[in-house]
Amino acid sequence: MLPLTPAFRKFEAELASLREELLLMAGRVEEMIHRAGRALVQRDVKLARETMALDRAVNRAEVDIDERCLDILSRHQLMASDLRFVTLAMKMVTDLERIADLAVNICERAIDLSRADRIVVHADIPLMTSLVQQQVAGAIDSFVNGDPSKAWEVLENDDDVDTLYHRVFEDTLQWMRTDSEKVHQLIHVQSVAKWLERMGDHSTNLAELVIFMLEGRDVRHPGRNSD
Amino acid sequence: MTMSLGIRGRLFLFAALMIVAVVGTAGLFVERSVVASVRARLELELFRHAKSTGVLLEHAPGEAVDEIADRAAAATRSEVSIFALDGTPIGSSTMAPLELEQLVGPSTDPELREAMERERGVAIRDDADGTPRMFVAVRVASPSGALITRASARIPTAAEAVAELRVALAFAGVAGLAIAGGLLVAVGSQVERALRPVVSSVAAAKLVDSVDGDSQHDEEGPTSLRSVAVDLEQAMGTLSSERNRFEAVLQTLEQAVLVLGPDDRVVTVNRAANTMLSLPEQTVGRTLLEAVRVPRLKALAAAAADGGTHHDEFDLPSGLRINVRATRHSDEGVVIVATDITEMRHLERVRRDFVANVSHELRTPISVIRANAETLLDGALEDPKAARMFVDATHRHADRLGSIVSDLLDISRIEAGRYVLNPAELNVGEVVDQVLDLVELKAAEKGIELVVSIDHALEIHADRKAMEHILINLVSNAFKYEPENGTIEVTAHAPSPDTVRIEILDNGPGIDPAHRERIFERFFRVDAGRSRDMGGTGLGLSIVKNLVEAQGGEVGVDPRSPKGSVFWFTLPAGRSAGGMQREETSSS
Repeated sequence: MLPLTPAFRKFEAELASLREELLLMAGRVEEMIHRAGRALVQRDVKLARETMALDRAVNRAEVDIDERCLDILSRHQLMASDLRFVTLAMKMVTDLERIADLAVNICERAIDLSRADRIVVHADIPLMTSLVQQQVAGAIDSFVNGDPSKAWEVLENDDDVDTLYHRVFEDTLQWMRTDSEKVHQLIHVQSVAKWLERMGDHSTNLAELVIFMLEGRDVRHPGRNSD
Repeated sequence: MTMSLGIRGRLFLFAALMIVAVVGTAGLFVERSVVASVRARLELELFRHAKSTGVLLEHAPGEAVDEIADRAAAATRSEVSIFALDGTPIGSSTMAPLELEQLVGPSTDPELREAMERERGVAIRDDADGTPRMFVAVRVASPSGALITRASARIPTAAEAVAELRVALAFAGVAGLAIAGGLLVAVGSQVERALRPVVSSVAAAKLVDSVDGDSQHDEEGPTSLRSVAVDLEQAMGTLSSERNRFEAVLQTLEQAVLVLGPDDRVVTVNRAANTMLSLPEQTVGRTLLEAVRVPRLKALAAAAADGGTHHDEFDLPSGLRINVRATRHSDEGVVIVATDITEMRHLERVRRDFVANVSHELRTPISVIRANAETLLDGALEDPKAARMFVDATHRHADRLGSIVSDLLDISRIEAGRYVLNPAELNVGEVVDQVLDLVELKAAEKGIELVVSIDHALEIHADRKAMEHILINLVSNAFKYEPENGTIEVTAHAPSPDTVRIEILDNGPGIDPAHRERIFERFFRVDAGRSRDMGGTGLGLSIVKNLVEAQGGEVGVDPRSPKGSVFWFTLPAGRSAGGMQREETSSS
């Protein structure tokens, strides 16, 4: 085996550091989903505000990772898996940042709903939160472990999140019909469910990117070539 | 007698055996091919000799042919003869000219005939003393016309051919052994020099450890490789058992332990860490973030890597609350120890709330009683109408105080195991009917409909008084929150042959998911003012939980769609449970 040159070692270290920063950002986003869900259910305004403050770190990480990727691309002739990893990192940060923004939205609604006399959070919202958290974690785990099977599971489980969303939507609609005083609060609940469903979609995007990195095949929009 | 060899001796013996085996096997295989090769070489040499004789004939016109044969034989160290094309000998290195003249007629040797026909002939035959000889004849040109020259030599026997080789192999074997011996001496000294500090430390450790001391060994000193091997083996054994002990302690710890190396990669991890931090299957060798994506844990490890011990307490995505301590260890890595404090924090909150609630609950009626008594003493006693009102209020609040104290005593009795339970076979439908009879009048006043949907053959194994207590508390609770003209349902079924589940369904405002876990705590109130107005003590559901759990059941609350709650509890099914069976019997 040929010995590694100092330049190659430096390049490897750059990729490892990029990977660490990406994982740290993913960890923050996972934490934000968990805390946003808890703030909503427990009507914890302090927790909601703390969670919103985490968004700044996520935004910084997005810009920083993007810059590092561009820097690596401009200085090295990347090939195969390295190239896929760097381009994947640039796309992943966009989805992760969007998920964090949605978590901030949920925190804002949590603060609004905490002012109401009685909270009207649908029983399936905590379940949806936990499922979305699992979906994001699944996509990132798949990336960390180099195991595409987990990413495929994420794609398969997206239907569960959608089903829950539709159930919450129908139930809150029904509730609005019977209790017009709560319409304002229930609209907030519906928004929360919609944002959770969007988070689920972003986690499938992440999973598709991971599959592309690991298997080298693009599974986005199946059947797009048949049009 | 057993003779023990040192490491060097054993290595030398091994090398010697290998060399002998290789040389012996090579000798066997090579012998045959050497014989064939020797013959081919001899044929080529004789051919050259015969040709050279031809060259001499060509360049020495006038010289006697026999003399040329002699000259050629002397130069080539073989026997050379010269023949006319018909095979008549005209010169030979082995015969004088006179002897040649006495020979009659041409020779019929096969190699000569072959040479006449094809310019070159070879034959092998025994000479006079029975030794095989090779004859090579060649047709050559001479100033007096074409002639045939023949060179011959004895073929060496196989033994002769191989003898040289055997000598070479033996020489190679001896040289190999000498080199192996030399290398062993050189390498042995190097290894010994390298191991000297290890051996010295092992010997020193032994000196410290041993009480009686192995003086002979210590005096000899760690000079031989054999003693090095023995000491190393013992040291490895000690290390291995130390490691096993450490591993056993680490794995049985309730705290999660994660050790990071200087490169931030996981070096060691225990079982508790796997569970508590939901680690992936292969954690060792991964970076901390690859193993656990918890930014606060990463920040703590980074702070500890710079030195000192750092603490933090936070929630994991799994919902567990952990207290973490991170310290830098001597190898520049970090040791992370995490303790699960979820239950501890929950109990702390329950205790804090209980103290706050119990003092509040007791203070309210006491304050009212005291205020009423003061008002009466201040003159209200003189006014019979007002006095009656104040005495009524005092009585009502004394009753409430009494209920709270009585409920508290019930709970403490159940928790202390002093609430005597006499489990018996009870018909669920029957007990439910009796309890609902008690609240029927109250229900009618509020316009609430009571609906019972229970298989009347369903039986449980439970204490009757406790079962009534549970049902009264749950039904009363449902009453408090049911809107007027609503419907309260009581249902029961057997989800498994061993269990009966009883449910009380209301259409009240429901319970927030966050409060569902806490609603069975003592004095926990979702809406404190409202429930107090309704006369609750804040202990009813806690009593239900204690009574159900004391009888081996479970209790909980689920949301009801679109609104309302389902309070449920399970109890062991009666031994004669066979509701279905009895139902069949009654229907037949």
